[in-house]
Amino acid sequence: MSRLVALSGRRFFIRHPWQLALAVAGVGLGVAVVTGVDLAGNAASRAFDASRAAVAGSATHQLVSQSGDLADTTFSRLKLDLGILSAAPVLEGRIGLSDGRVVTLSGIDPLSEDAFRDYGTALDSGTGLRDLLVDPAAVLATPGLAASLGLSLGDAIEVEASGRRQRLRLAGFLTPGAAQGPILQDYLFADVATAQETLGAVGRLTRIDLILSPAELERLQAWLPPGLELVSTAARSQHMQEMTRAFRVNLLALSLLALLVGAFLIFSTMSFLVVQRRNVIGTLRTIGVTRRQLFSSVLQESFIVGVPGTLIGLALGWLLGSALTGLVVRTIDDLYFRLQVAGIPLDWLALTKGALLGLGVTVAASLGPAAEAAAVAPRSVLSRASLERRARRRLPWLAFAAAIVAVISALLLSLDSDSLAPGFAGMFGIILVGALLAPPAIVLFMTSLLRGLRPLLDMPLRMAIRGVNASLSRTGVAVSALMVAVATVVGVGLMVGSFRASVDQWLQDSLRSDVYVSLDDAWYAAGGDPEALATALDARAEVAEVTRSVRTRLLTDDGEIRLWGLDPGRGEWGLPLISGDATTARKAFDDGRAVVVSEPYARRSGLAVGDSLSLPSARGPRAFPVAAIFRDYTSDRGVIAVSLGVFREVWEIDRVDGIGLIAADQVDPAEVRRAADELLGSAPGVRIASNREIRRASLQIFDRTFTITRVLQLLVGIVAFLGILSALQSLQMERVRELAVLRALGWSPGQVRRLVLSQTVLLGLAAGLFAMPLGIALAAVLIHVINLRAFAWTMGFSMDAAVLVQGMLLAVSAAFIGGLYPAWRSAGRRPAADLRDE
Amino acid sequence: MRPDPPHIELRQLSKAYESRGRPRAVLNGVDALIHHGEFVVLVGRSGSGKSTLLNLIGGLDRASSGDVLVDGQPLSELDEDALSRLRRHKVGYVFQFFNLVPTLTVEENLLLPLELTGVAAAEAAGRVSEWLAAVGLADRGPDYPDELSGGQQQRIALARALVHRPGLLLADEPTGNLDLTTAREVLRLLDDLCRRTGTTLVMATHSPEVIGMADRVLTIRDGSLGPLDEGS
Repeated sequence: MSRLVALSGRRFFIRHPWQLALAVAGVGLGVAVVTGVDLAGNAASRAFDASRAAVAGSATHQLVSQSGDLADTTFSRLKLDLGILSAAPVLEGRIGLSDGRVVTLSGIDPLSEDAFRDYGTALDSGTGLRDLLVDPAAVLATPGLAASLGLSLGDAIEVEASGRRQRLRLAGFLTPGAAQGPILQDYLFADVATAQETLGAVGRLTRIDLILSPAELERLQAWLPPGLELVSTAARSQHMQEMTRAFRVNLLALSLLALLVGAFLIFSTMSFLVVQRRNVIGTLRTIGVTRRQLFSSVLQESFIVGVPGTLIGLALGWLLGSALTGLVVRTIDDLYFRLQVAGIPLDWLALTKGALLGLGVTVAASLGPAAEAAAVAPRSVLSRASLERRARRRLPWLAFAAAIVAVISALLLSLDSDSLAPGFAGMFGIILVGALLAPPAIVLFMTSLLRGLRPLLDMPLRMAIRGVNASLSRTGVAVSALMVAVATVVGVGLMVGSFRASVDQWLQDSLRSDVYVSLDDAWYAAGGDPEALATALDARAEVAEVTRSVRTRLLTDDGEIRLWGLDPGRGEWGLPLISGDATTARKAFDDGRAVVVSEPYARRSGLAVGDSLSLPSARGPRAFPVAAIFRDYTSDRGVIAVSLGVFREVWEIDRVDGIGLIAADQVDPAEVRRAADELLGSAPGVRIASNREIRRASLQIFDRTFTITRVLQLLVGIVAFLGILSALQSLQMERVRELAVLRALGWSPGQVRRLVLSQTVLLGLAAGLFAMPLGIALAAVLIHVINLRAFAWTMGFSMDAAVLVQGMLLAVSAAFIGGLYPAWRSAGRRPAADLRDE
Repeated sequence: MRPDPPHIELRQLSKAYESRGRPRAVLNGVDALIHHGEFVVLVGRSGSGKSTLLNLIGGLDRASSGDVLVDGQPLSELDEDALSRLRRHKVGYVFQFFNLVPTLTVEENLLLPLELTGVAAAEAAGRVSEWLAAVGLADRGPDYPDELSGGQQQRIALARALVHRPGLLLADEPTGNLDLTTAREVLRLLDDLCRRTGTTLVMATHSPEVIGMADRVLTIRDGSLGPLDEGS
């Protein structure tokens, strides 16, 4: 590798700092997006581990009940009858603090805790432990929680629990480690008896944590009565991690898409660098520089872009990661389970991955241009005409290559597989097809434009159009890069819009009642009777009918299953069916002979209508035939619905979580709501919401979930903008001589400006137009392949014209803004100087 | 008759280009011998194939048929890397548009062929100074090419073409982009330097002044090479 050849390449960048800056920014943003998403995902994952460690501690297993709570006598049976030494009873419930915050009150047995959890010194120091055991109102909190409530040791804490105000006392501080601190910030700890009293759950436990030897495990399994479940904490943790996998994979896909757009921009930049220096490359070849030397020189130059771009990307990625962590955690919180994150740790693996990806993509994107520089015969390199001739000769081959990639992508996308990898490969293949077809499409588009609009076009416009075709070696790359970026923005926009429309439609279909009353623990603790309430509501003249529902989670070896017990009343049952006969299924469901399952559950379990599934119950496994499959977007793990009667009989849970009120004929839903308000007054643990409020709140959660997607979409847009700016600057700055000739022939600066701007806008228009079918294809892949495989739910495709218009505007405005500076520069230059220059 | 083997031998050399899907012959079975130290001028109309012939001699392009032998070595037998090495060691080029590397200084432009041929740094620096002085631009080493006039750039291009002692200098319209006075100066310098160093010079030109300076003038017409005649 010649030092001077390398020096010449480096100096090229010094002489074109803007070009370098834009290319570096393109790489930087791509790396930042991937690293940021990775860091945020890992931070959430670590927070989950820390949360699990803080809550489950060293337990190897947990004993839980299928029906919800365990009797606390089970704990003494384990200790006394089965001789299990390491067991710790836990009762958990949510309580309200005076500042409106809701925290978890965790009831523990301080004497059993030592082997399970490390709360710092509080339990060892004597005072905290003694107080917990002797003071029926004593609780422990982290110093942080106490400080945020303005509490000192010994102060009273006013709480709202089981429907009444109660007073607890801060008896000591927990001093957990750094990882557990943020999680325990949300907890108050009390003796289990205190918690039972406070939560109105005397004699009940949430679970018993266990550290079991193999012999104890065997003994316990042999003893295990129906209705009790022994769950391995490792398996449970894995299931919970698994729950968020699809979500994290989707984020990764979006970030890779951003990097792909970045890669196109790098490719475009490096291609420009090569074509811009074709004379130099030709000269070097005549002097005797070999192809290999040129190839490695261009590759080495890619590091000038790649190294600073990657470093900037890592720094930006760190900042982005911090910002995205909040969004990721909020989404996991909304969709899956509660999570607390203190910040993002120094994650070397994610940073190394980002660095390798940034450099790798830069080098990979430069391979083509490097090979191009090396492969051309020196005579041809020197000739601009031959360069353009070659670009045109390549058009049929590009179309041919696009056809091959399209076939491979179609095969990958149609694979009957649940794996996301072929889906992503197919999606990236589709993008490649678009990029390969862009140059032939430009020629067709410009030629038709010239033919169709000839009488309307003046000379500068005709020249602008011809110029695009005449500089295909450069315009092709610029349009491809912009088109890919805009198509990504359009594709993701259409996917999110379609998803939102499907969720909205599903909410309309599912929410059949006009008003919903939800009842929580506090209502039951205050002695509420759901059946009496339902009867009283049904008796109101404003109410035509009531529906009842209850939800629980069943723990199985395959993870957690959501089980709904439904009494849908006489009308529509609010389960939009996608498979199964509605009448037959409804009859079988109402009779308690069958269950209906949600689409994700059916897909993940491979179930079809008529198949049978087995569910764990208090009396052992129960088999049910599947009567129908319904559309549902509440859980990507799946939901099973049974009739309320069966739910009560098999799972022995008599409560009702929600009562739906359907308004009588000619009655305004607001009146139904007033009736419910009158009946329930200010009863604790009751929330009343109208159909519209629930829909609005659900769509708000949906929009919140996709905030992160929109942030990534915006970043892709910015990368696209930088890319086209870079490409257009290079393209137009290269034409100074040609423009100087026009000035010499008598063109005014205004005409030159118009020529430059109309050409860049034409390029933007072409990129925008070509991006539309590609964006629609991407959306279709995201909807029908990626989302289906990740979340196992189908959704309709809704073509939102606003998204298409947005994409078009992005393309044209990016091109227009990108052309402003070159137009201003070209028109303001002295033609004599440019004509004199080579 | 010269007793020594020819420096360049053209054997039935033909070159055709594809134009609108049909081959267009530029050179058609050309035979010629050029000896060491000779100054040969190629004349002919625009598009007659002068540049093509220079490109074929320098291994910048491949013949459609026939061959070019440089120091007895058939170029058709050399791969791209070998052709690069041939140019690096045995050929110097001067173009109409100078083709200096704009991102390297004048000094570095001259150092480039020396670095490629592996000349030690100290010797290379000496040779660069020597050649800068020879072309009358001893004080312009640190400047970039765009800081020089056209004539000065062509002198530097000349120095760069000869600094690695190539033995063969191919010049394609080297004065086509210069005014008459500067063109004369460059031609004199070119002739002087080549004769002083015993370098074979093959030059394509339209300039009638060169004809008087050359040892031999060859005309390209209708794809064939012949001696100068009145039609040229």
